[in-house]
Amino acid sequence: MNTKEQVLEYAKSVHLALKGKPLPQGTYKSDHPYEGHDTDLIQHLVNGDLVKSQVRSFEKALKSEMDMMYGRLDINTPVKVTKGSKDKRGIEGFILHAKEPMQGSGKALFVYDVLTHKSCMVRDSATKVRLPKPGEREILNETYRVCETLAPHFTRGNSVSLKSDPNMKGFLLSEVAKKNPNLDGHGFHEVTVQWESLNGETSTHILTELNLDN
Amino acid sequence: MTVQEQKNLILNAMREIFPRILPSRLQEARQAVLSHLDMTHADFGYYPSGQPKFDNLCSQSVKTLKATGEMSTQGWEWRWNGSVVSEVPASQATPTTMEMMMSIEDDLFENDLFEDDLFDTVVNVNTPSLYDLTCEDTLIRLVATTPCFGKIVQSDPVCQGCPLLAQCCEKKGETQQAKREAREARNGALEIASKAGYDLSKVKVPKSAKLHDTTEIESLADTSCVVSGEPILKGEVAYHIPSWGLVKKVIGDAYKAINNI
Repeated sequence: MNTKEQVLEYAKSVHLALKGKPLPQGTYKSDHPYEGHDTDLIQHLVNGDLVKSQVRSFEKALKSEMDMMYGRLDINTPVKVTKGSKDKRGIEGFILHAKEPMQGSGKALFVYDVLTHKSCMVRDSATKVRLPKPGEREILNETYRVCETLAPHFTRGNSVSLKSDPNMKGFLLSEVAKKNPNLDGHGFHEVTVQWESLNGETSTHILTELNLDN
Repeated sequence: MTVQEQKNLILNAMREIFPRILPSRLQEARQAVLSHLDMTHADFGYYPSGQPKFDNLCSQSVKTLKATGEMSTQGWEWRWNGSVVSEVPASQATPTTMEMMMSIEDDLFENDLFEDDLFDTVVNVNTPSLYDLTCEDTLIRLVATTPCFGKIVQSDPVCQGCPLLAQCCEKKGETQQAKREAREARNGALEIASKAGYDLSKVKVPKSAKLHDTTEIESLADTSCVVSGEPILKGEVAYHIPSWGLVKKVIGDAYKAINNI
């Protein structure tokens, strides 16, 4: 029992033998040493030292991969904003676009958090690389895919509501869903919405934040 | 039996027999309590280090009796006071080390250093020490801050001049005895496992394994033994050692015996 796969298989059989039911499965499998299964539970079921060591080496390999991506400021590199205003600082997102800044050195990065839908434009020196949370990169890829698929259906005048607050209803002002022109063809498709409940206030959202009501 | 119940049992036994047998040395008194209860160290269990819990419970009971004034200790000797503790005149109480040291200092200041009186005073002190070793609390603190306690080397001059010499010898004897018993238990358990076909002497137990939290289970599905690799079938009785895995009953019993569980 040396590999992660063997450890997981044994943990599954021990859990079944103890509880009579399969080892609970997490929602996402990506970027997780044991395919999304609870690491603490596995540590309790089987050789805890071995599990800890495997988790450490998994994180080390992932860190190395992320460091390389961050070194090139690749698109979809997970970063954390460490400097800047209170709104920006602490955002944990992905680089969706990197370009030469209007002034100064380094690169200007557009960082987007797919879990909270917060975004900001920061200088690369105000960020540091981080490890993606389990499943986070799956959500990122899913967001790209869904935006691409839904884009033709989001047209001017359509009624929409906010997924996070379905009582928020409004109408699309944009002619069609398109990507942010400042990102040179990168990022997600987005639209401008005029909200009924906010006395006609407008705001911009990516397509996965909205439900099409008709 | 809970720890509190064990403590109460010991406390009651002490109250019954101590008026008759004290003063006595700590070890004899503890043994008398065990004999009176018709129990052994094993009945009170052992700590993971192999030390018997009974000794600690005894110390706690003694502390209680000391707090109520029923008992007092002097070094390793226990004394029964009953209810007359407060009647002892203060002037007859054993002088403390601090008082003794002060009298030496007085002599140093008031008399010539080489006067016979001073020499008499110094010679009368058996174990010159800054500490009053007749006070159990002081003794406990001193032992706690002496990292080499229990590791006496008889020929070492440093050990020979140590005020804890006697206690250290006693402790070393206890430790060796405990180690010997633990070794015997381990060898016995390994032999039993060996007879059943398992050589556990070469098995490396992971540090994370929580042997003391081992639970006996009836397997609800087929799995395998983490030590021998043999299948554990559904319905078979086995042990789960947290942070290690499932083991065959024979192997689990052996590890329990080795670790005094």
